[in-house]
Amino acid sequence: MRGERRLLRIGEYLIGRAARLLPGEIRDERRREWTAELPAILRDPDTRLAAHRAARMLRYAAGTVWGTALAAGGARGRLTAVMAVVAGLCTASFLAVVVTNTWRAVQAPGDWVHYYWIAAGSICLARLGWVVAPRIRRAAKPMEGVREGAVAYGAMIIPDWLLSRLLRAVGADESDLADQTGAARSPAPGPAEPAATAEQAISMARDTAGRFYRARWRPGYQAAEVDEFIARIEATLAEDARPGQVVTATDVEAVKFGTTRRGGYDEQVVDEALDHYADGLARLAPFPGPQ
Amino acid sequence: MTAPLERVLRAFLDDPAVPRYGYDLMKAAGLKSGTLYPMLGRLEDDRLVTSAWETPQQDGQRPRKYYRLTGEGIRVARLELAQVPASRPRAPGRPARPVPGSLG
Repeated sequence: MRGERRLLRIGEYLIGRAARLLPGEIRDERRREWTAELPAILRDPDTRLAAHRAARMLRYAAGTVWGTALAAGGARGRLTAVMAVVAGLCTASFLAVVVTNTWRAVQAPGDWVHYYWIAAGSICLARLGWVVAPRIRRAAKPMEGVREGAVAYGAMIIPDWLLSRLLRAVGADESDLADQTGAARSPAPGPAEPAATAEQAISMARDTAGRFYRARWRPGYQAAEVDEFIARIEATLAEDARPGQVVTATDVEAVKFGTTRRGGYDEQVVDEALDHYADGLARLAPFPGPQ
Repeated sequence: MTAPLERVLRAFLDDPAVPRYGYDLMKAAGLKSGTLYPMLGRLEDDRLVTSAWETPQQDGQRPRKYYRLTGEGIRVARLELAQVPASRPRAPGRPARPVPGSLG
């Protein structure tokens, strides 16, 4: 295939980027495994068109970057970086307020506005120190303490609605915020445990509903349609649905949503949540009234 | 059980004795590499899947890593898949939720 070597080099570069995000003990093995697949994809006899094979190979290599970047460690690193910038900007702003107003107070003593700003800036700095210092003292490694402090301070000053958007944007969740143990931050290994009860299944689905990931650069489900359907399921589960609005597990399994090229809900996340809902609905007693 | 995991287990169970490599599983299960490999890693950590490197057949050929369900993996996979409703659409690739022709 023409240009095969160049394509392989691009693929290997992407895989190299992905491998750098992995822990040291599995980095080399993963890189060898993924790199070995590249020539096989480029020569895949099941795919007739060379351009299709090339695109598939590049998609494969890019997917390894995506998969490793969205793993818990990567998301945590990005969240720390964002929070460190937020905490750093706040510190710089508070310091600037205190220093400039102290200077002005020296130049023009007696103006109470300067004293007000000096007091306000100092209080904010003290609050920041109050949050960060104990974490640095408690942490086994100083940098880990700085991380915990920055994330805790960011979580404290960023409004909830903005924080939830930020977490989604960096692929993190609330378990990546400070004051969680290392074990709690790591995703549970192995396949998801099947929910033992209907309540458990419903609770798992509710945790996801309403805050689905948006598929920014690929097709996703129409958000309004998904929200409307989830609202019907919720009403059914709460035994609050109007006649004709009741949803059964079969409805959930058969439902189809319109898609949009960008900005819709991530299909995989929605499907998984619907699986939980279907399990929950299937385990409930038959609903009274017309269906 | 999530839909992607179900598809991977079904691909393995097509012939549990045959070792499968990553790209082969991606095609069979209709998953992306970013979804498949973390899943294989977790299954391996749980000892439901075992892996081994192939012996290169030609000079310069990079060895591939092959995966296979362990005995426990086969048992657990069959048990879990038996609980999945038979009516659920499970074709390889995306489940049939998007309305055909609605893209756009």
